[in-house]
Amino acid sequence: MMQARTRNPITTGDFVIVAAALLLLGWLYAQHWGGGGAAEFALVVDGSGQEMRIPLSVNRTLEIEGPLGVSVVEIDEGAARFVSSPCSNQYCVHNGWLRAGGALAACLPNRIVLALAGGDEHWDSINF
Amino acid sequence: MTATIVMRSTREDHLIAALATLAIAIHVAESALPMPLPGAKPGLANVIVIVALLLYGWKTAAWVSMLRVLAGSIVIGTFLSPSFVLSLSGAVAAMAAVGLVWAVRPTLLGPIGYSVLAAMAHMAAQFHVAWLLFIPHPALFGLLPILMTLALISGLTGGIIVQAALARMKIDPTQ
Repeated sequence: MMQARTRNPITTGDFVIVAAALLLLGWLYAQHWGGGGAAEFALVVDGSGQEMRIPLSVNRTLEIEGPLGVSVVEIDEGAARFVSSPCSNQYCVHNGWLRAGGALAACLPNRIVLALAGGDEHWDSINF
Repeated sequence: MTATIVMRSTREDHLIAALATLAIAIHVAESALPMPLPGAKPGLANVIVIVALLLYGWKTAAWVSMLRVLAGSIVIGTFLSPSFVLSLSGAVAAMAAVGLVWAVRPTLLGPIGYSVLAAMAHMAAQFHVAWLLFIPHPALFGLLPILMTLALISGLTGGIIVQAALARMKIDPTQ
């Protein structure tokens, strides 16, 4: 049942298989860990639950009304961030600039959500 | 009145049983190891399957592989559970991938090539079955690169062990 093999137990085919496996891994990391593409617009939900779609192509500063007061959202060069918010913990401001589609910052005390959408949407955390 | 049924077992049956026993022992031992990631384990039972493949051909290896999944799951107590379904789908895919190469020319690959091919096919199939049947969420794909990297490492390690094992058995894999 033995087949005649070449002297070297490691065949050319072995190298081909390992090289193909490495290529596949490279592609997988690029595909699944590459992150989302640039976002196209921001979705802003204000304190009353009203949703606004704001294009990221125009630089501007928005004042969003919430139950605690006014939160300031800035849009600049395709990115968006909370500049200030009347909340005590300031998590939303510390989130910094959001760039990729699917990125999200929220000020829960002031009931304001800032989410980026469009591009190749990516999740910001595992959800079920 | 009593009819006697005689079951004849061939030399090949004994061979398959012996190899499958080794594979099952490794499978059971590995299941006791704590693993940081779901779906990942060393996969060293693969070593026995590849040894069986190189020494006795694809059919024997396929028998050993299927018996390992079946009897191994009964021993551990996962028979017909999700982890059994994943294990079976992985083993079937691995033997199919290996069988394709084997059908072209058995000497096309050595221990390392067959081992890596089997490990990668096993993980890819198991992952996609897990995704289709159990966790149909796109975020699962974030795990795929890591799992496939582990599969490559497991395949390489297994292949090197197969080569060393064949050398110890005074069997030249080059023959």
